[in-house]
Amino acid sequence: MAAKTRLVTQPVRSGTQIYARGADLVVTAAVSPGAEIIADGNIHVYGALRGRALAGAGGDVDARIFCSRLEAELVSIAGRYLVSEQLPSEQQGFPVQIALVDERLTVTRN
Amino acid sequence: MAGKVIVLTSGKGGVGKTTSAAAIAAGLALRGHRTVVIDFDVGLRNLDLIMGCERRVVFDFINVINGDAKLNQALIKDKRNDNLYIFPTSQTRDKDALKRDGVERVLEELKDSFDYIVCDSPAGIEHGALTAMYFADSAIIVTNPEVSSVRDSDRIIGLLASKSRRAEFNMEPVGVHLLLARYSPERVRKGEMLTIEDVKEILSIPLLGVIPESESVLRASNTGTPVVFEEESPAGRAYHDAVARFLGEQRELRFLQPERRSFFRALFGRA
Amino acid sequence: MRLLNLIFPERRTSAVIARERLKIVLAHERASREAPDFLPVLQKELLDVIGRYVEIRSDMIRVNLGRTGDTSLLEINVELDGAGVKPTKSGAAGDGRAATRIEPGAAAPWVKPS
Repeated sequence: MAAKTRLVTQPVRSGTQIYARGADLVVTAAVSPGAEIIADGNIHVYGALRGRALAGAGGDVDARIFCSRLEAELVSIAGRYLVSEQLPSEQQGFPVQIALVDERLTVTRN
Repeated sequence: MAGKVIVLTSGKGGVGKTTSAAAIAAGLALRGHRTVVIDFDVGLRNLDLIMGCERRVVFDFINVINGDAKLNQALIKDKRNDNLYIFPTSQTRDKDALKRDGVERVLEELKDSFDYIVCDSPAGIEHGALTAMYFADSAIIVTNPEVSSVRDSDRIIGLLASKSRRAEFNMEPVGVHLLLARYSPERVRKGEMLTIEDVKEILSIPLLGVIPESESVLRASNTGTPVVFEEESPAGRAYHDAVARFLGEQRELRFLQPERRSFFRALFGRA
Repeated sequence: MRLLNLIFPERRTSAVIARERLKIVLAHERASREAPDFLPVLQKELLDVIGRYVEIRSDMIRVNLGRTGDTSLLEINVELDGAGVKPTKSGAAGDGRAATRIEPGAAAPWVKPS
């Protein structure tokens, strides 16, 4: 796990790219479609995740993504990804955590 | 036969380039031609939304130009037609990421597998728009019957004649075609809108088609379905006619008369 | 061609006004597209030539291409009032866009399907 945490308190707008190098990323606002949030560690979004979230960007397979509202365009952990269409529809719009289990991304209700 | 590059350009923003690029690419695919439509509006991408594939975007044009991904990883196959592919662009980069030699390499690769490569240009006359038009074999100038749009289209036609690759290498010039969009027969009848003849005469380029103002266009972008897929829509049918003319067929201009009320409206439903 | 217009003059609707304005504006723009670029060069060459005979600065010369109605006018203004300062070359504007882009670590090593 990463030692520090990067905190973002403003909405992450479309076209913005945030990279928390060597750290976790916490966002306490919404992430717009077309925005990209990346962390070597975990990602926590206390808001709607509508853009792309890439955790464990440096290869950490234990990294996770947490969000209050799943509406993501794409989620990825350590390079494995799922696009919006592939995310389980029953989880769309709910608080979830996403983890990598046996090379597969799993989405579980928080 | 190597693929042909068609650019949809206008100068002026908001005239219907993306709607038209989507409709024309889909129209060509429906006619059996392998077609790819590319979004050149880096940083303000819209083509994926209009085509309805925004939830399937993984890699984009800039990724491929930079060598981070292969072409077949970025191309999205349309679910409605096997001949139609979408090549989205990046939302996080900007137009400086469009390197001309990278674009050239990608277009050359696309020419091997596609009959038509439709390029949706951004508005303006800066790097993005100039790159989109540089490699064109044909250009469709999307114009609204309105003063600013006509003036900007004139500028773009001038640029195509001087700043395209064909112009620089003294090859046969880019084939330019006029596509008049958002035409309202009712407003023309009242004298409030420039006529087709006005615009044709002022711009002096061959007319490819006239697309009537239509509610179906908003519906199309709302649902992510290019308007040619809607059978009943006058705009959709006008785009089909434009595609036919592009392919060399003769078609009469239609939808030029103000709608007659009651009887016909009842028969054909909403525009 | 416009004979019919004498008998049935066109109503001056806003569309007609738009058409007329467009024709005028585009006629000007197309003409100026042909040779707008010679003006700065002309200005510089005039500066060089005149500078051989008079102490002159670049801001004392102004070259302008204008139009009144149908007539094109090339206007050259040379001020000879200034105190004798060494002639300065009219500087090249340069593109001046220093692009300082900080790429957010090109990191996110792309990607394998899950």
